Amino acid sequence: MRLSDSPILERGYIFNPSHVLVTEPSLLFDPTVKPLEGMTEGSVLFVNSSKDMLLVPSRKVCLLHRDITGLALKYIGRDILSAAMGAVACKLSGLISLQSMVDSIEEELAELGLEPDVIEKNVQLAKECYSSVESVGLRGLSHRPSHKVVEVQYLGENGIPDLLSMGNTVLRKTGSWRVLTPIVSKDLCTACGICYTYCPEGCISVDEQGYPSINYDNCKGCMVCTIECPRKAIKIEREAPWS
Amino acid sequence: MHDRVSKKGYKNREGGSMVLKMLTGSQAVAWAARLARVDYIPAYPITPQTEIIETLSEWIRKGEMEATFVQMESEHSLLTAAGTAAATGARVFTATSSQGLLYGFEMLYSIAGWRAPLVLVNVARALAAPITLEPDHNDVLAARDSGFLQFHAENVQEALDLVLLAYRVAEDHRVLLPAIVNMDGFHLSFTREQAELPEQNAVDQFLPEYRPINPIRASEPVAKGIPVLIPPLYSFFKYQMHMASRIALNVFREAAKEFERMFSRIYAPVEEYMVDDANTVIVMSNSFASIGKQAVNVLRDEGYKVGLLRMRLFRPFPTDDIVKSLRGKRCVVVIDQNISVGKGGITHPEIAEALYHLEDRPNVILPVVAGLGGKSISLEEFRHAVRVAERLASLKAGPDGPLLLFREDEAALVESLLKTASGG
Repeated sequence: MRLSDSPILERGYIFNPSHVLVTEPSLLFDPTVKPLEGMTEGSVLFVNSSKDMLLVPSRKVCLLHRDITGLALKYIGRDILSAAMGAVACKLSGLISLQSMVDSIEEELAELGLEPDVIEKNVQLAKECYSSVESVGLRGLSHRPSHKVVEVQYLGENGIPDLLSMGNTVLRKTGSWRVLTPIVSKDLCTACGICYTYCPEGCISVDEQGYPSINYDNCKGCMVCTIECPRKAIKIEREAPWS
Repeated sequence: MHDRVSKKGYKNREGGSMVLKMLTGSQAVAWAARLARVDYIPAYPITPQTEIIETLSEWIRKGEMEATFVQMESEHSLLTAAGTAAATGARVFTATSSQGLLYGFEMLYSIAGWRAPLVLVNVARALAAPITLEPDHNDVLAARDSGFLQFHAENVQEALDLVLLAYRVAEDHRVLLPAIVNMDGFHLSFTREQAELPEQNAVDQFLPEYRPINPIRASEPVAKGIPVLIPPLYSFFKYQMHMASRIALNVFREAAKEFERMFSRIYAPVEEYMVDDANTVIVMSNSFASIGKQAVNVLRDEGYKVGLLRMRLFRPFPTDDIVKSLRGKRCVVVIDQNISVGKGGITHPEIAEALYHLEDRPNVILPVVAGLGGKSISLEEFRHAVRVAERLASLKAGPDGPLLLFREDEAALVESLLKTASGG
C-alpha cells in the first residue's frame, strides 16, 4: 500500500517500506518471501502473533505484535484476516480515519456479496484491531538499493528454462502457509493409518509401529487429517511450533 | 529452362546423383521432410496446406517413408504434440496455414520457450474476415514475435531447400529454436516447377541426427519451460531466446555455405536482384517477388534504374544484409503483402529502422501495401510505386502513409460486386 497527498509515481514492489505487516510469523523466515528485506532504521514491523517475538532484528526496526488470528476467531469464528490486517495498516499510517476504514470495509465486502451480519463481524474485528495500535506515520519515497547495469551473457544450451534437479519441492517449506496445526494425540491414536492415506501433501509418515508423524515443514494445515481421523485423535492448535 | 522434365539423373559437384522432378511447393516440402528423415508428423488439414500432409501420409502408408503420422483434432493440439515430441528428442515436421496457425498460436510461444527445434511449414493464406483462400503474409507475420525463426521461400526449389536449412539451423546447439518455413498458398504451394531432389546420402551428411538437449525420457524427468515467478528469471530466459535468434543469423550463413558446397545452390539471408547499380530498390518477400523481378526487367528496359531485394530470413532480422544492399540508394520501395490495420505494412518500419542511423540512408523509404488476399500486382502498379518514390525524392518530401496498389479495373469490379451484394 502506498499513501500520498501528491500523485504516486511508483508501482509494483515496495523496496523499502515504512511498515511491514506479516500475517503469519513463519513467513519471516521464508527465503522467497523475505518480508524483512528493504526495512531500514525506523521501519515498523508488525507481526500477527500471540507470542512475544524472539526475533532480534539486525536493524533498528520497531517491532510490534498482536494476536490478530485470535481476534478473528473471536469475532468471525474463522481465520479471515484481511479486514483486520487492513485495519492495522490504516491505523499505523496515521492518515486514515476510523470512519473511512469502516466505510471501505462495508463497501468492499458488500461487493463480494457477503451477508450483512458477516460484514458487521468484520467491521467489529477491524475496529478492535484499529484501536490496538498507535499511529506512527509514513516516510518518503521507496528506493531500491542501487546496483550497476550489466550485460547479460548468452549461455547457449545452458540458458534454457529446463529443470533437471529433482526433488526441489522439499526446498519450499509450505508449512509457512499454515494457520492451524494438526497435532496427533498419541493417547487416542490407534495407528490405523487413515491420516497417512488421506494427507494430500504426503506430509504424514508412519513409524515402525504404524504411528503417524507430521512433517510440519511442509504441512499446509488443510486439516483433512483431523476430519478423516475416526478416533478424533488429531487436535487443531494455533501456532504450534513453526520452525 | 522450364521444360517439363519428370525425372532426369545427372551429376552434381560432389559427384553424387540428383533427380530433377516437376513438383508442387507442397510436394517439395513433403520431400524435404522425407529426406530429413523426420520421426513424427502431427497433422491437421486446412486449405491450402492439406496436400503436404496427404503426400506424407500416403508415403508412410505405402511404407516408402518411416515416420509416425497422427491426425490431431485441432491445430492447437497439433502444435502442442509437435512441441512436446520435439522436447523428447524426435525430429518433428508439421504444416498449417492461416486460421490454423492462429488457432494454435499460443503454443508457438510455448514451443519457442521450451527451445524445442521443429520445423513448421506455413502455407500463407490471408486471414478472415472476409474469408479467402489466397495468400498474403498476415498469418506468418502474426508469429513474428514468437521466437520461431522465419524463412520465406520464393519458389519450389527454395521451399524444399529451406526446410533442410531450417532443421540444420534450428537444431544447432547454439540456436535451439523452432522454425517456420513460409510459402505462399496456390502461387507456390500448388504450382509445379522443376526442382532438384537432393540425394538421401547427401542430406544425411548435411543434416545429421538431431541431438536434443535435456530430452524428456522415461524415468529421466525434466521440466521444460518452468514457471519463473521471479521477474528477472523471465527476463533472462526471454532475452536468451533473442540472442539465440541473433546467433542463428551466422549459423544460417555457415549452413548455407555448406549447403552451397554440397548442393550448388546459394542462399543468403536476403537475395539481391539488380541491386548493385540501382537508384531505387523494391523490397519484397515470398513468391510475389518473382513478378517483382519481372517488373524490374521491364522497368529497366524503360530506363528506370531499379532493383529488387528479397527478404529470405525475416526472423532473425538480417539488418546487416539490408544495410549493405540499401545504403546509399536514392529510394526504397517496401512492398508489404500484409497490413497492420491502423499503421500500414509490417516490414516497412523494420526496414526503415535498419537504415535510420546511416548517414547515407535513402532519401525516401516508401511504404506500400499490395497483394492483400492474393491480389495480383501488375507492372503498372510496380511502376506507379517506383514513380511515387522518385517524385517524393525529387521534392525532398516524405510519404504521408502507406500507398495501396489498386487498379481502376479492380475498383470497377469491386463497385459492381458491391452493387450485386446490396441487391441493387
